Amino acid sequence: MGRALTNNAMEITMGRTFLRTVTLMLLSLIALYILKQSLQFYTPISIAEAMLHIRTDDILSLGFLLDLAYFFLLTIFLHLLWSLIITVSCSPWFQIIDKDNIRTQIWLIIMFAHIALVLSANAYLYPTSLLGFMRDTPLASPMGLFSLSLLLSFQFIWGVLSSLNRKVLLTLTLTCIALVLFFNLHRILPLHQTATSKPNIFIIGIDGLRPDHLALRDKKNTLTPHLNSFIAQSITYDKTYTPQGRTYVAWMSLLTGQYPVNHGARFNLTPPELVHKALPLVRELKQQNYKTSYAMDERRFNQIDHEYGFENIIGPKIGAADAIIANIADFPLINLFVNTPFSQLLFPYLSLNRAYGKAYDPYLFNEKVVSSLSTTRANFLSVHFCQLHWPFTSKEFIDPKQVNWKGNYNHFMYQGMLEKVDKQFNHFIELLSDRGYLNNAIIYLISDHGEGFMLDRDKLIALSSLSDKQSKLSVNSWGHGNNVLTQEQSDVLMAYRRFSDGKTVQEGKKISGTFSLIDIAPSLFDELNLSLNKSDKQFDGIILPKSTQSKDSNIFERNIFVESSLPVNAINTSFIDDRKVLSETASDYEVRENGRAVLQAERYPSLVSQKQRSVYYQKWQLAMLPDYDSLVLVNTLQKSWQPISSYHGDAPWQKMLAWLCAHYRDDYQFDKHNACKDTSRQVREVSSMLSSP
Amino acid sequence: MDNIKVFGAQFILISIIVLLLASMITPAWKVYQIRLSINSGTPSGDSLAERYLILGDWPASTNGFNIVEHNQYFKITTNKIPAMQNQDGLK
Repeated sequence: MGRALTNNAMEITMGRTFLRTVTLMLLSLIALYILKQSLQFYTPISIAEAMLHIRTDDILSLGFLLDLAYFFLLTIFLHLLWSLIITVSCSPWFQIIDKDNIRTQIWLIIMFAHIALVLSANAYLYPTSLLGFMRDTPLASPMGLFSLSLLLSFQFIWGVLSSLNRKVLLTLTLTCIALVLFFNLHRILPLHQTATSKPNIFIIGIDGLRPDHLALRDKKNTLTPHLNSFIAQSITYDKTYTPQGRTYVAWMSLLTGQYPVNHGARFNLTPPELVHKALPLVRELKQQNYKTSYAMDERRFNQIDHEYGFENIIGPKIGAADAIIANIADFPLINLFVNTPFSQLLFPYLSLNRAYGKAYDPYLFNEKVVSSLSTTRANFLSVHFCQLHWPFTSKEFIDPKQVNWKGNYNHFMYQGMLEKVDKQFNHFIELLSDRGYLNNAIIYLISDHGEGFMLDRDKLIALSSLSDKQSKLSVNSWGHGNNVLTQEQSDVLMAYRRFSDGKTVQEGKKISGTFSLIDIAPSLFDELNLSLNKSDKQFDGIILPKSTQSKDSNIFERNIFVESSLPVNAINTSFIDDRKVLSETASDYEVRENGRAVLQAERYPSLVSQKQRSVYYQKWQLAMLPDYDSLVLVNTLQKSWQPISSYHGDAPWQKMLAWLCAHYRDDYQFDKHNACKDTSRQVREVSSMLSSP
Repeated sequence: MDNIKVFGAQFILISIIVLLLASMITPAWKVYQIRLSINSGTPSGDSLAERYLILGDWPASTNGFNIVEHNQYFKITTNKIPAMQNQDGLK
């Protein structure tokens, strides 16, 4: 009877203990949230504000709501599971002790010890987490974490043994072993590629990498020793331009070999129905039995996925919920799960996501990408590293001693991140090499765009005296994709390297000329003897020469087109306030049923009409700006500009204008100032040339 | 005797609870004080550390250099560079 009473009292107390644990857990989370808010002072965005700017229809997008609901429910579930673990840990003590006050004290000790462990682990693994305040304490050290983990693990195992019968225990143990084996299967399977007759093809992109920050342009640039070494052994094409300084558009141009006017992607987040998603390069390589993969560590502005023909996609999930979840997810227990083997299942928006910089592990991303490659077939991998993208966050703060501080936050952080992306690149190449993927390989190393930092050395000089109106033209801007006159936004890296038996088979050299990212696809077609179908659009790019002795006039006499993207004033500043960005751009976007944000199709023509357009030819750039009534001529060697109305030199600007007018002739309202009216004959000639087979 | 033992056990348990709480609250309070010390009152922050914080992360690393302690040497000056008023910079 006494024993029965004791058992009943214990069962009731365990239930109460669980409820008390959940309550205290909730209070702790609220306290942590308040602390986080107080540390930020001014949060760039909040969920409530985001909801104010987003249209009701978009908020009600099923995919968007499901994504948010999944995140919140999973977070709740994990905290409930944790509460259960704490409760189970208390059970052996409750069997020994029958005094309620002592049971409560023991429960509090176990509870607070658990919270201390999770906070310390978060601080140790993710020091840039806002809730990593335990970072300088003894608990947030390997010894402290090990000791506390051991103690609490022992406590939990003791609780399990005392609570469950043997059959349940055996089932649980076998399930745990099976799960561990399943999620670590890739470590057991062979990792080394067997010999293939066809070369692996790797197109490696580094977001925002400016060539003038590499030794390629100035030997004094030493922040990227591994990139410098790689490039020194490659054929580099100088100068190369991106057709548009936006990641998705640049990659589409690269993969199709076409300008944006031809492949249809004129902005990031272009509505998918407006884009020609069939990529002949991917199609042809698949027919040659290549495994085709696309990997990117940030997906807010690049939606290339299986629909573009790739078999294998690596990276965080694509969706509008990304920005919201990444802004609110910084809680210790969530962070601890982000880099676990099952993180892509639990937190698909946070896993492998550079935009969630505090928990992003670049080496884990590399490992995931390389592990996904085929070991028996040749691979075509397009991979893009985004650590250099604003806001330049990472698991550990940059090393400030490596860079000179000159008051420019963006540029300073960018330089600091150069070191990190250089190490990531080197690690990636080493993985490829160690696993045999460079025994027969072609590598293109590119950047998708540059970045404007309003540096003195970047400024264009006005050559002629300007009217009041003309002097207000901003030729230098922050960011990328928003100003064709800011040369550093469009100037990119393009390097080629061929491997055989793990070694480079061509000497490193620089080939001077005028190149574009659109030249890679036709070059691959040529090198691999691939053919376009009759229904495929012809390439806009050229076949890249491999020799400096090339007399191909294409590389010197060709024109290259560069256009701007969506004009957003809120990003042209040293501090990007997400609140202002959302306020300015929300009306241009919609959230589809699948939860993805895209530009509204009905806004598309109007947005296209607001683009800046330009053409490069030899050392000249001619730009047509929708809100500036004169064409602008830039001398890229002198770094100077003037309105065409005051130009009296021998630059072939009329020819360039004809090209510009012909290339963009189908764009809605592109010639607002009638600059093309005097070139109609030349435009017809060029158009006819472009249209002929 | 039993009461003394119980009292002793409770004293130890309560001490452990207080120790655990202090081990978490003390560093949290210290971090909050540090944050107050570098607060400039501007929404975009006027120093490297403050802006990094406003953007959602704490500028911590294991390389031994504490950017917050040296905050006065990392003041942002590029806030004074005007942004474009529209895509072409004309008002």
